[in-house]
Amino acid sequence: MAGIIHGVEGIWDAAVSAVTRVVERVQYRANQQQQVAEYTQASGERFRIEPADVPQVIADLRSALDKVRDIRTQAQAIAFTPAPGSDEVSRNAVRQIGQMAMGSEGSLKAALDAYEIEIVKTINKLEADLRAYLRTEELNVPPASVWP
Amino acid sequence: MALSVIRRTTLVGVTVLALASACTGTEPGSPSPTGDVPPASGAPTSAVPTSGAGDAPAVSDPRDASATTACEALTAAQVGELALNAGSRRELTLPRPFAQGCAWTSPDSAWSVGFGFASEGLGTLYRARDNFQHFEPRDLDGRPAVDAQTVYNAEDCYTYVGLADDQTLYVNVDNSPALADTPLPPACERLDTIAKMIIGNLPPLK
Repeated sequence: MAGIIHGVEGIWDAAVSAVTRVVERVQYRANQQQQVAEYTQASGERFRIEPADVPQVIADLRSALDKVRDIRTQAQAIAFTPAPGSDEVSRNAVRQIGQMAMGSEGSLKAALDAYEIEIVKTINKLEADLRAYLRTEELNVPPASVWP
Repeated sequence: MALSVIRRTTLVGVTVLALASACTGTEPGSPSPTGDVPPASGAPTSAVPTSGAGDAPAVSDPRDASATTACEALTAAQVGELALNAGSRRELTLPRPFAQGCAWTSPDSAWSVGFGFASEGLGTLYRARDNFQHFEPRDLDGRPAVDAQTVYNAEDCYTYVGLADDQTLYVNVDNSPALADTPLPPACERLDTIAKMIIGNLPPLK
Protein backbone atom coordinates (compact mmCIF):
# COMPACT_ATOMS: atom_id res chain seq x y z
CA MET A 1 0.00 0.00 0.00
CA ALA A 2 2.82 2.37 0.95
CA GLY A 3 4.48 1.56 -2.34
CA ILE A 4 1.36 2.49 -4.26
CA ILE A 5 1.02 5.77 -2.40
CA HIS A 6 4.69 6.51 -2.98
CA GLY A 7 4.29 5.76 -6.69
CA VAL A 8 1.25 8.00 -7.03
CA GLU A 9 3.03 10.78 -5.19
CA GLY A 10 5.93 10.41 -7.60
CA ILE A 11 3.59 10.76 -10.56
CA TRP A 12 1.96 13.77 -8.99
CA ASP A 13 5.31 15.41 -8.23
CA ALA A 14 6.32 14.94 -11.86
CA ALA A 15 3.02 16.46 -13.03
CA VAL A 16 3.46 19.46 -10.73
CA SER A 17 7.03 19.94 -11.98
CA ALA A 18 5.81 19.76 -15.56
CA VAL A 19 3.12 22.38 -14.90
CA THR A 20 5.60 24.63 -13.16
CA ARG A 21 8.05 24.42 -16.05
CA VAL A 22 5.34 25.17 -18.60
CA VAL A 23 4.00 28.09 -16.55
CA GLU A 24 7.51 29.50 -16.18
CA ARG A 25 8.08 29.25 -19.92
CA VAL A 26 4.77 30.93 -20.70
CA GLN A 27 5.42 33.57 -18.06
CA TYR A 28 8.79 34.30 -19.67
CA ARG A 29 7.17 34.60 -23.07
CA ALA A 30 4.39 36.77 -21.67
CA ASN A 31 7.03 39.09 -20.23
CA GLN A 32 8.73 39.24 -23.60
CA GLN A 33 5.42 40.02 -25.28
CA GLN A 34 4.82 42.74 -22.72
CA GLN A 35 8.15 44.30 -23.66
CA VAL A 36 7.33 44.07 -27.34
CA ALA A 37 3.99 45.73 -26.67
CA GLU A 38 5.71 48.56 -24.83
CA TYR A 39 8.23 49.06 -27.60
CA THR A 40 5.66 49.03 -30.35
CA GLN A 41 3.19 51.28 -28.58
CA ALA A 42 5.79 54.01 -28.96
CA SER A 43 5.71 53.45 -32.73
CA GLY A 44 1.97 53.45 -33.12
CA GLU A 45 1.54 49.69 -32.54
CA ARG A 46 2.69 48.90 -36.06
CA PHE A 47 5.59 46.89 -37.36
CA ARG A 48 7.19 47.72 -40.65
CA ILE A 49 7.65 44.56 -42.69
CA GLU A 50 9.13 44.45 -46.16
CA PRO A 51 6.65 42.78 -48.53
CA ALA A 52 9.25 40.19 -49.48
CA ASP A 53 9.48 39.13 -45.84
CA VAL A 54 5.75 38.71 -45.28
CA PRO A 55 5.53 35.05 -46.41
CA GLN A 56 8.29 34.10 -43.97
CA VAL A 57 6.60 36.02 -41.16
CA ILE A 58 3.37 34.16 -41.90
CA ALA A 59 5.24 30.85 -41.84
CA ASP A 60 6.80 31.78 -38.50
CA LEU A 61 3.40 32.66 -37.09
CA ARG A 62 1.99 29.31 -38.23
CA SER A 63 4.89 27.62 -36.47
CA ALA A 64 4.11 29.64 -33.33
CA LEU A 65 0.48 28.54 -33.59
CA ASP A 66 1.64 24.91 -33.61
CA LYS A 67 3.67 25.54 -30.46
CA VAL A 68 0.69 27.10 -28.70
CA ARG A 69 -1.48 24.12 -29.56
CA ASP A 70 1.24 21.69 -28.47
CA ILE A 71 1.58 23.34 -25.07
CA ARG A 72 -2.20 23.15 -24.64
CA THR A 73 -2.10 19.45 -25.51
CA GLN A 74 0.64 18.96 -22.92
CA ALA A 75 -1.11 21.01 -20.25
CA GLN A 76 -4.43 19.26 -20.76
CA ALA A 77 -2.72 15.88 -20.36
CA ILE A 78 -1.60 16.88 -16.88
CA ALA A 79 -5.23 16.87 -15.74
CA PHE A 80 -5.30 13.11 -16.41
CA THR A 81 -3.54 12.48 -13.10
CA PRO A 82 -5.72 12.57 -9.98
CA ALA A 83 -4.69 13.99 -6.60
CA PRO A 84 -2.38 11.69 -4.59
CA GLY A 85 -4.72 11.66 -1.61
CA SER A 86 -8.30 12.34 -0.63
CA ASP A 87 -7.45 14.74 2.20
CA GLU A 88 -8.40 18.39 1.96
CA VAL A 89 -4.78 19.55 1.51
CA SER A 90 -4.31 17.33 -1.54
CA ARG A 91 -7.65 18.31 -3.02
CA ASN A 92 -6.93 21.98 -2.46
CA ALA A 93 -3.50 21.62 -4.09
CA VAL A 94 -5.18 20.04 -7.09
CA ARG A 95 -7.67 22.90 -7.29
CA GLN A 96 -4.95 25.54 -7.08
CA ILE A 97 -2.73 23.91 -9.68
CA GLY A 98 -5.73 23.19 -11.87
CA GLN A 99 -6.80 26.83 -11.76
CA MET A 100 -3.27 28.01 -12.50
CA ALA A 101 -2.79 25.64 -15.41
CA MET A 102 -6.19 25.29 -16.98
CA GLY A 103 -8.66 27.61 -15.22
CA SER A 104 -10.90 29.97 -17.11
CA GLU A 105 -9.23 33.23 -16.08
CA GLY A 106 -5.59 34.23 -15.68
CA SER A 107 -4.44 30.69 -16.38
CA LEU A 108 -2.00 29.06 -18.73
CA LYS A 109 -4.88 27.89 -20.89
CA ALA A 110 -6.40 31.38 -21.00
CA ALA A 111 -3.01 32.73 -22.12
CA LEU A 112 -2.70 30.05 -24.78
CA ASP A 113 -6.21 30.71 -26.06
CA ALA A 114 -5.45 34.43 -26.24
CA TYR A 115 -2.20 33.72 -28.06
CA GLU A 116 -4.03 31.58 -30.59
CA ILE A 117 -6.66 34.24 -31.27
CA GLU A 118 -4.05 36.97 -31.79
CA ILE A 119 -1.81 34.80 -33.96
CA VAL A 120 -4.74 33.78 -36.18
CA LYS A 121 -5.85 37.41 -36.51
CA THR A 122 -2.33 38.48 -37.40
CA ILE A 123 -1.93 35.75 -40.03
CA ASN A 124 -5.23 36.76 -41.63
CA LYS A 125 -4.24 40.43 -41.60
CA LEU A 126 -0.84 39.76 -43.14
CA GLU A 127 -2.31 37.53 -45.84
CA ALA A 128 -4.90 40.20 -46.70
CA ASP A 129 -2.21 42.89 -46.82
CA LEU A 130 0.00 40.71 -49.00
CA ARG A 131 -2.85 39.99 -51.41
CA ALA A 132 -3.63 43.70 -51.66
CA TYR A 133 0.02 44.50 -52.24
CA LEU A 134 0.39 41.92 -54.99
CA ARG A 135 -2.75 43.21 -56.72
CA THR A 136 -1.31 46.72 -56.64
CA GLU A 137 2.03 45.51 -57.99
CA GLU A 138 0.26 43.75 -60.84
CA LEU A 139 -1.50 46.98 -61.80
CA ASN A 140 1.83 48.79 -61.81
CA VAL A 141 3.43 46.45 -64.34
CA PRO A 142 2.91 47.81 -67.86
CA PRO A 143 1.22 45.43 -70.30
CA ALA A 144 3.52 43.28 -72.44
CA SER A 145 2.49 45.21 -75.58
CA VAL A 146 4.48 48.25 -74.46
CA TRP A 147 7.56 46.33 -73.40
CA PRO A 148 10.71 47.19 -75.40
CA MET B 1 13.35 51.66 -73.08
CA ALA B 2 14.07 50.47 -69.69
CA LEU B 3 11.20 48.94 -67.90
CA SER B 4 10.91 50.25 -64.45
CA VAL B 5 8.73 48.68 -61.90
CA ILE B 6 7.90 50.83 -59.00
CA ARG B 7 8.83 49.14 -55.79
CA ARG B 8 7.07 50.32 -52.78
CA THR B 9 7.41 49.42 -49.24
CA THR B 10 4.16 48.87 -47.58
CA LEU B 11 3.54 49.48 -44.00
CA VAL B 12 1.96 46.35 -42.77
CA GLY B 13 0.05 46.63 -39.62
CA VAL B 14 0.62 43.79 -37.33
CA THR B 15 -1.49 43.12 -34.36
CA VAL B 16 0.73 43.03 -31.39
CA LEU B 17 0.77 39.78 -29.55
CA ALA B 18 0.42 41.43 -26.25
CA LEU B 19 -0.69 39.24 -23.46
CA ALA B 20 0.02 41.20 -20.41
CA SER B 21 -0.16 39.36 -17.15
CA ALA B 22 -1.12 36.20 -18.90
CA CYS B 23 -0.18 33.82 -16.16
CA THR B 24 -0.33 35.86 -13.04
CA GLY B 25 -2.89 36.49 -10.41
CA THR B 26 -4.72 33.22 -10.22
CA GLU B 27 -7.88 33.71 -8.29
CA PRO B 28 -8.63 31.28 -5.53
CA GLY B 29 -11.67 29.18 -6.06
CA SER B 30 -12.84 25.72 -6.81
CA PRO B 31 -13.34 24.25 -10.26
CA SER B 32 -16.80 23.30 -11.29
CA PRO B 33 -16.87 19.59 -12.00
CA THR B 34 -20.07 19.78 -13.94
CA GLY B 35 -20.44 23.18 -15.58
CA ASP B 36 -23.22 24.35 -17.83
CA VAL B 37 -21.66 23.13 -21.01
CA PRO B 38 -23.30 21.17 -23.75
CA PRO B 39 -22.51 17.50 -24.06
CA ALA B 40 -19.95 16.55 -26.64
CA SER B 41 -20.85 14.68 -29.77
CA GLY B 42 -21.13 10.93 -29.79
CA ALA B 43 -23.51 8.50 -28.30
CA PRO B 44 -23.72 8.28 -24.53
CA THR B 45 -22.18 5.25 -22.96
CA SER B 46 -24.65 2.52 -22.27
CA ALA B 47 -24.56 0.33 -19.21
CA VAL B 48 -21.47 -1.81 -19.56
CA PRO B 49 -19.30 -3.74 -17.13
CA THR B 50 -16.77 -1.62 -15.33
CA SER B 51 -13.07 -2.35 -15.20
CA GLY B 52 -13.05 -2.18 -11.44
CA ALA B 53 -11.19 1.12 -11.56
CA GLY B 54 -13.57 3.85 -10.52
CA ASP B 55 -16.59 4.07 -12.80
CA ALA B 56 -14.62 3.41 -15.94
CA PRO B 57 -16.22 0.86 -18.24
CA ALA B 58 -14.23 -2.24 -19.06
CA VAL B 59 -12.55 -2.44 -22.45
CA SER B 60 -13.46 -5.30 -24.73
CA ASP B 61 -11.12 -6.06 -27.64
CA PRO B 62 -8.13 -4.54 -25.85
CA ARG B 63 -5.28 -3.14 -27.92
CA ASP B 64 -1.62 -2.79 -27.01
CA ALA B 65 0.17 0.50 -27.60
CA SER B 66 3.15 -0.29 -25.38
CA ALA B 67 5.43 -1.04 -28.33
CA THR B 68 4.15 1.74 -30.59
CA THR B 69 5.52 5.26 -30.56
CA ALA B 70 2.89 7.91 -31.14
CA CYS B 71 4.46 9.28 -34.31
CA GLU B 72 4.37 5.80 -35.82
CA ALA B 73 0.71 5.28 -34.95
CA LEU B 74 -0.51 6.77 -38.23
CA THR B 75 0.82 5.56 -41.56
CA ALA B 76 2.03 7.97 -44.22
CA ALA B 77 -0.99 7.03 -46.30
CA GLN B 78 -3.34 7.89 -43.43
CA VAL B 79 -1.60 11.22 -42.89
CA GLY B 80 -2.23 11.93 -46.57
CA GLU B 81 -5.82 10.72 -46.35
CA LEU B 82 -6.44 13.10 -43.46
CA ALA B 83 -4.95 15.93 -45.55
CA LEU B 84 -2.40 16.73 -42.87
CA ASN B 85 0.84 18.47 -43.71
CA ALA B 86 3.41 15.66 -43.72
CA GLY B 87 6.14 18.11 -42.78
CA SER B 88 4.31 19.30 -39.69
CA ARG B 89 4.99 16.13 -37.67
CA ARG B 90 6.14 17.01 -34.16
CA GLU B 91 7.04 14.90 -31.15
CA LEU B 92 5.53 16.07 -27.88
CA THR B 93 6.75 15.50 -24.37
CA LEU B 94 3.72 14.57 -22.31
CA PRO B 95 3.61 14.14 -18.53
CA ARG B 96 3.59 10.67 -17.01
CA PRO B 97 1.88 8.27 -17.37
CA PHE B 98 1.97 9.28 -21.03
CA ALA B 99 4.78 8.28 -23.34
CA GLN B 100 6.07 10.65 -26.01
CA GLY B 101 3.17 12.16 -27.97
CA CYS B 102 2.83 13.32 -31.55
CA ALA B 103 1.15 16.21 -33.36
CA TRP B 104 0.32 17.15 -36.95
CA THR B 105 -1.21 20.23 -38.57
CA SER B 106 -3.20 20.84 -41.74
CA PRO B 107 -1.47 22.77 -44.54
CA ASP B 108 -3.53 25.90 -43.85
CA SER B 109 -3.01 25.59 -40.07
CA ALA B 110 -6.79 25.60 -39.63
CA TRP B 111 -6.74 22.45 -37.53
CA SER B 112 -4.28 20.21 -35.79
CA VAL B 113 -4.26 16.91 -33.98
CA GLY B 114 -2.18 15.77 -31.03
CA PHE B 115 -2.19 12.39 -29.35
CA GLY B 116 -0.34 10.06 -27.02
CA PHE B 117 -0.61 6.81 -25.12
CA ALA B 118 -0.87 6.44 -21.35
CA SER B 119 0.17 3.33 -19.45
CA GLU B 120 -2.89 3.65 -17.21
CA GLY B 121 -6.52 3.01 -17.99
CA LEU B 122 -9.60 5.20 -18.00
CA GLY B 123 -9.99 4.46 -14.29
CA THR B 124 -7.23 7.00 -13.63
CA LEU B 125 -9.17 9.60 -15.61
CA TYR B 126 -12.38 8.83 -13.75
CA ARG B 127 -10.60 9.34 -10.45
CA ALA B 128 -9.41 12.72 -11.75
CA ARG B 129 -12.82 13.78 -13.08
CA ASP B 130 -12.97 16.72 -10.65
CA ASN B 131 -10.07 18.23 -12.62
CA PHE B 132 -12.42 18.75 -15.58
CA GLN B 133 -15.24 21.20 -16.17
CA HIS B 134 -16.44 19.12 -19.13
CA PHE B 135 -16.49 15.35 -18.56
CA GLU B 136 -18.70 13.43 -20.96
CA PRO B 137 -18.39 9.63 -21.16
CA ARG B 138 -19.29 8.25 -24.54
CA ASP B 139 -18.71 5.42 -26.95
CA LEU B 140 -16.10 5.58 -29.69
CA ASP B 141 -16.40 2.72 -32.13
CA GLY B 142 -17.44 0.31 -29.39
CA ARG B 143 -14.83 1.51 -26.92
CA PRO B 144 -15.35 3.46 -23.73
CA ALA B 145 -14.22 7.05 -24.16
CA VAL B 146 -14.53 10.36 -22.38
CA ASP B 147 -14.62 13.85 -23.84
CA ALA B 148 -12.90 15.88 -21.14
CA GLN B 149 -11.78 19.50 -21.00
CA THR B 150 -10.66 21.48 -17.99
CA VAL B 151 -12.30 24.54 -19.55
CA TYR B 152 -14.83 23.81 -22.25
CA ASN B 153 -14.19 25.10 -25.75
CA ALA B 154 -16.69 23.95 -28.37
CA GLU B 155 -14.22 24.47 -31.21
CA ASP B 156 -11.91 21.79 -29.84
CA CYS B 157 -12.25 18.17 -28.85
CA TYR B 158 -10.19 16.38 -26.21
CA THR B 159 -10.94 12.69 -25.85
CA TYR B 160 -9.52 9.80 -23.85
CA VAL B 161 -10.21 6.36 -25.31
CA GLY B 162 -9.82 3.08 -23.45
CA LEU B 163 -7.36 0.82 -25.28
CA ALA B 164 -7.16 -1.71 -22.48
CA ASP B 165 -7.96 -1.63 -18.79
CA ASP B 166 -4.47 -0.26 -18.23
CA GLN B 167 -3.88 1.71 -21.43
CA THR B 168 -5.45 4.92 -22.74
CA LEU B 169 -5.28 6.84 -26.00
CA TYR B 170 -5.44 10.61 -25.56
CA VAL B 171 -6.36 12.59 -28.68
CA ASN B 172 -7.19 16.20 -29.24
CA VAL B 173 -8.25 18.15 -32.32
CA ASP B 174 -8.01 21.95 -32.27
CA ASN B 175 -9.94 23.92 -34.87
CA SER B 176 -9.21 27.50 -35.93
CA PRO B 177 -12.11 28.22 -38.33
CA ALA B 178 -10.78 31.71 -39.10
CA LEU B 179 -7.87 30.15 -41.00
CA ALA B 180 -9.97 27.70 -43.01
CA ASP B 181 -10.92 28.31 -46.63
CA THR B 182 -13.94 26.03 -46.25
CA PRO B 183 -16.02 25.21 -43.17
CA LEU B 184 -14.31 22.73 -40.87
CA PRO B 185 -16.07 19.58 -39.69
CA PRO B 186 -16.74 19.41 -35.96
CA ALA B 187 -13.54 18.66 -34.06
CA CYS B 188 -14.97 15.54 -32.38
CA GLU B 189 -16.09 14.14 -35.74
CA ARG B 190 -12.57 14.45 -37.13
CA LEU B 191 -11.10 13.17 -33.88
CA ASP B 192 -13.20 9.98 -34.08
CA THR B 193 -11.89 9.28 -37.58
CA ILE B 194 -8.29 9.70 -36.45
CA ALA B 195 -8.76 7.67 -33.26
CA LYS B 196 -10.23 4.78 -35.26
CA MET B 197 -7.23 4.86 -37.60
CA ILE B 198 -4.76 4.84 -34.69
CA ILE B 199 -6.54 2.03 -32.86
CA GLY B 200 -6.82 0.03 -36.07
CA ASN B 201 -3.04 0.15 -36.40
CA LEU B 202 -2.44 -1.23 -32.88
CA PRO B 203 -1.99 -4.95 -32.28
CA PRO B 204 -4.36 -6.84 -29.96
CA LEU B 205 -3.27 -7.02 -26.34
CA LYS B 206 -1.86 -10.49 -25.58
